[in-house]
Amino acid sequence: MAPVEPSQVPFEAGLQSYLVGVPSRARFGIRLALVVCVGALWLSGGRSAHTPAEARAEALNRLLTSRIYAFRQLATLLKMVGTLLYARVPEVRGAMLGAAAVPSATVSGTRLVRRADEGGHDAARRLA
Amino acid sequence: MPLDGWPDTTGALPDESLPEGAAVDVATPGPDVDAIFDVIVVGSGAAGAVAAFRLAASGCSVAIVEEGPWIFSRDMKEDLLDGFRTLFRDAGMQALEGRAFMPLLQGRCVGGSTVINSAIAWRAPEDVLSDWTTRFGVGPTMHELEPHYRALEAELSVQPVAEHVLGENNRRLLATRGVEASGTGLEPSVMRRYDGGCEGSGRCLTGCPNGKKQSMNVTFVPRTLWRGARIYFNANVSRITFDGRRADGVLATGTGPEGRRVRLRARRAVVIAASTVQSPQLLRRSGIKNRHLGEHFQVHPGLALLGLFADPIDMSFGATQGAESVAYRKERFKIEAISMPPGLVLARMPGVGPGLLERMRDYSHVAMWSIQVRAEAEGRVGRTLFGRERVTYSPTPRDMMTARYGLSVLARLFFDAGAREVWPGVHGLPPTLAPSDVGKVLGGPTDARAYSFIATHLFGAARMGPDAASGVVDGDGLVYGTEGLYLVDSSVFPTNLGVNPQHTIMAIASLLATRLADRMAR
Repeated sequence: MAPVEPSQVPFEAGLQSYLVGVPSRARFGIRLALVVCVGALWLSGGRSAHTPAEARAEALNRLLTSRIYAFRQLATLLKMVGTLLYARVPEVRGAMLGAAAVPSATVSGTRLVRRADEGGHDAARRLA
Repeated sequence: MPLDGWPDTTGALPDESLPEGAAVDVATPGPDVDAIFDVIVVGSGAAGAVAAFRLAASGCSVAIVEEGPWIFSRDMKEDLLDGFRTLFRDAGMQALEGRAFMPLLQGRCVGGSTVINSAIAWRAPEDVLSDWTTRFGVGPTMHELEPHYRALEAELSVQPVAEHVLGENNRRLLATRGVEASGTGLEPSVMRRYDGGCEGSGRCLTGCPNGKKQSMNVTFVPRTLWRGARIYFNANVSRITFDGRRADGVLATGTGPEGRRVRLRARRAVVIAASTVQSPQLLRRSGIKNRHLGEHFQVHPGLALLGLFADPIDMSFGATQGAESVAYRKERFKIEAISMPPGLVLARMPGVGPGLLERMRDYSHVAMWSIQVRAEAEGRVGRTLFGRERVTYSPTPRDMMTARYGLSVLARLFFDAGAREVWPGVHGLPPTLAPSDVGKVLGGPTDARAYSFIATHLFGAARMGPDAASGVVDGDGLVYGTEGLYLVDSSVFPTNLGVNPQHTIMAIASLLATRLADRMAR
């Protein structure tokens, strides 16, 4: 049994925050991957929320093992982004690491060196 | 010598104690920058930081220009997506285009790729250097490089991975010594790394949070700043400027909507170390013409296998990479253990949906080992018709045979080491392999599109040559047809190395910068 049901993970918000830093071409690739995978679910009848998870997984698995390279790549890309988003959930991380689990790797803003006055900076005054 | 000028930081990490005014973020609002230095160095990675330090140590006034942000050690986050977004070029989505898409990982931050690699120190094999001098008529000899290797090893604390942070993933590979049923003759050994007291966080890929990995952002960049240099970061260099044939500065723009314009003038020289992909592009944008510019681009395509063991491995602890073997260097591949965080391993586990979720608890029992292929293929760093940067590269059929053979050796090793099953991640092979399936790997597909290659080590695209007809730069890194314009990163390498390149990139940058400093002193 999964520590957290994938349906409870805010994939969309996580994806949106990642896409902010992604170049437009890669952003297009990720969105295309989403469209292809959702399209495959639709064609296989897995579009309904009541469709068993096994059936949806089967549809995605067909894409991952497709003879068509582009489909495989797009499905692999989506699987990677999805697993990275899923594995950042503390409960999931805890389940994967077991006894070795450490506090969650929750994302917070990175602090950068800021300019304090013209041409300079103050390393002691790093801004959030 | 390396710590000369280093302040007593009373426990602060080197990137927490910088001289006032030495680091300028030009992405922030403010007046445009117009400044003059003896030397401008473009890039703060392995080549740029070392060159800048040597030049500053010789008494030159130096400015470093870096396209990416400066992320402090204590702000390095474990989260991979955050790391990709802040530390990697194109947020980790860069890829080589060819027969197959091959993800290309490059750092884009102060410290460059040294921030996100495993800090592995390997001197160039002597036969590779001999090949350069005999086949290409140019290139440093081991005699010339040796003092630079030696100095760097002292300056960056090169040492074998300590036993207490080795981690089980590395130990399993080391344990195959002498127990190989398959007779692969692996002779694995402990890696030597730039190691200032590794604590085994297993987070090399997203930047060392403890400042222990001796990457450029905590070593040569701060040391250069304490020598009176200045770094302009978040600064995208648009082109090099010339006065006649003489390079006299660079033009840059701060990244982001409020970025400032930056004009840096060079009294003596402009040194380019922007990476194998970016340096040729910058030269081209600046009007340099040479038929070898952008050509002869090489990589070490990497492939990895996962092995499932009965007892715990726990890749979240220990040196990210700490064990290796060069027993197959003549066969053109190198074997390495590499630990990956949960999200990436989950992506490589077989299946999707409920089946994948059931497997995820296996993470703590999974080991990951890889091969780096010394591929003979050459690619091209160019642009599309619409001006977009494009790097094309496809492994040759012989490279594919090498890769397939290397994977079969890895699979055998996993079972020798006691793995219950191996996950190849190769289209056309079963998703899980049993010991009896190893032969299937050797008989697997030879199409690059069936494999999940990753390109990390980059070479060529502006290689050295004895004259302008055979290379872009001369043996001193001087760009042919110019004065005062030097290229010192791995784009000048005539070929790939077959071993991890950071040490040689730094040694060659150190050699060329020292020669430049000597010439300027005359």
